[in-house]
Amino acid sequence: MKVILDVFKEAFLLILRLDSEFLSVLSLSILVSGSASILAALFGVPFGVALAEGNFKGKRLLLTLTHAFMALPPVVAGLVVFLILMRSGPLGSLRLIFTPASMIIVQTILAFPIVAGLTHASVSSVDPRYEIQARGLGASRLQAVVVKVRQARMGVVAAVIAGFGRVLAEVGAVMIVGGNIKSQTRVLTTHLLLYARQGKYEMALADGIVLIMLSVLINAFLTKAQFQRARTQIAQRITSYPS
Amino acid sequence: MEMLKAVSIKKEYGERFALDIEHLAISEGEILTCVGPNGSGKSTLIRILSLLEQPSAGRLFFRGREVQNLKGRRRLEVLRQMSVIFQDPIFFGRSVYDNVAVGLTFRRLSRAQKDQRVRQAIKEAGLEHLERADVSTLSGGEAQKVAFARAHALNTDLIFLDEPFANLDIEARRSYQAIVKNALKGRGKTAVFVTHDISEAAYLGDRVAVINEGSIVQAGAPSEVLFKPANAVVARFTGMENLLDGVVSSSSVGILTVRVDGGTIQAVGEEKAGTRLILGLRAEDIGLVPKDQLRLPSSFRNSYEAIVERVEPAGAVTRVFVKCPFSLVSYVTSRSAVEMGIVPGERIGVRFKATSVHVMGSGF
Repeated sequence: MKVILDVFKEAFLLILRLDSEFLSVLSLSILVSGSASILAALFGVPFGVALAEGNFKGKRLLLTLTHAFMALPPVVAGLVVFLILMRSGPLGSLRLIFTPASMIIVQTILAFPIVAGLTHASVSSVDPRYEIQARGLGASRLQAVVVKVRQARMGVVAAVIAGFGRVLAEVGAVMIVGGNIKSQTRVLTTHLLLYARQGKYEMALADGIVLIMLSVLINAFLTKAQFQRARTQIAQRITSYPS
Repeated sequence: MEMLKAVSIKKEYGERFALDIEHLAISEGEILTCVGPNGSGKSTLIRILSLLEQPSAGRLFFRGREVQNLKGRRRLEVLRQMSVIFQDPIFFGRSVYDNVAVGLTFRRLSRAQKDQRVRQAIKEAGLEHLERADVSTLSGGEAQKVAFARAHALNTDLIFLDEPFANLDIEARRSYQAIVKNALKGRGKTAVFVTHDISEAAYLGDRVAVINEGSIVQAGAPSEVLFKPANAVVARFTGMENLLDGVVSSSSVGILTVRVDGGTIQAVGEEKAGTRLILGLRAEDIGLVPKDQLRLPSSFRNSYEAIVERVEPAGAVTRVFVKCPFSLVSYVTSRSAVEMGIVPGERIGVRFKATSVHVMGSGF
């Protein structure tokens, strides 16, 4: 028991010390997972809305694939991206392998289906009367879709939160495409794995605690935004419908 | 000039026919009320006429232009010349003002134009005191007024109203009906109203169309539908409680003697002897008198001695079920019911005029 307590104590001291290596790992984690989440939201939300509201051929197939890819094992995604980006791979000339860019790409691929799938689910579950009422007051098809997405905004923000959660906790894919290179592609999860293997449990635990703190902080921020957005959007006059 | 015309409109949901309208035209400036029981297809008809739902078959003309197959911009252009008010209004913003403005926002009006029209509509709907109120705090009646103001602000030539008074109590319903009627007539609007209440339909409509099982069974002026129902379905729906199957036994100078279950009734008509028909009688046209009075001379061609079977007080009036020997329902004021001592088992006089009997073709 004393050993565990000591590990905890050491871990907290390490966090408080905030040495430069630790800071670089932390900031890279935020940069990689944050960028991937933003990209996944930028592409995933419109894609999810299109799946919910669009009327096109192959929609059902795309939806099935989206749902299947929500459970895509990160190591598989990592391996595929590695094979494509490796020096001798089809996009090897871009020289992205073992860089933060490759890590952002693989995490975007992992978060995208989650954001799209959950956005589809929340937009689909909006009461269809919103659309009929909006159309009955002269909304264009696009304006009516915007009305529905606004109704689904809590679910859409939840979709982005879920996407972020997935990539922040992910280790296999970034390990493969990033290579866990010190000061270059080492993030909190790969850092933790490395120290755990080396038996430096206080260092590993410090990473773990920071990961959890980061996740709590960012989710608290997004959740707050989710509720605030809901409030202010209702409070605002609706003035920004597309024509 | 015709504003809207529907020709051979059909709507099917799977195997089930929801709507089958042979012909329906609405003239400019006319208020048409569609009345029918729940599930008769009225709301489906409104959604199809307002281009919110595609018919399975048929053609729809708006100001002479065929519109049912229009897509994209062209459909939107027609759609924006109409507005629809639903039974349960769905709100998009927070305040009453925002909600009344929403359709104008869709149309991208400038802030100043929008403001002027929103304020005007709010005023006409009598909602000035609630302009900044949160829509989630409104009563059912207030919410429906906001829904009306929202459509009224758009100033479209054609307005559809799907049971807009459904959530109101009688008092509020009457005052709101008057507000809506004045607002529509004042601006010379064309409107299609849907309701299941025949008295509301008759009050609001220049013309009433009775819909049953997806088809129009009778259309005409309110008085025509109310007092000359085309068949038993309409008669029953317009509140004609007494419907009797009968056969004409004799006919002379416009007076029919009709044999009904256990007796005869005299009615006005030209049908030949042997014709099967249905006789309709409004409960309020049947008089109840002390049975001794039947012996006195009167202008009533139909008078019977009857037994009171059941008495149902309903506020100011009382429904009295009598057997004479066919069964009839009559209304008397509750005061008269007490004064005359009308109680079950009592013998009483029943009388009505031949002109009060509506003669309709058989075939329920």
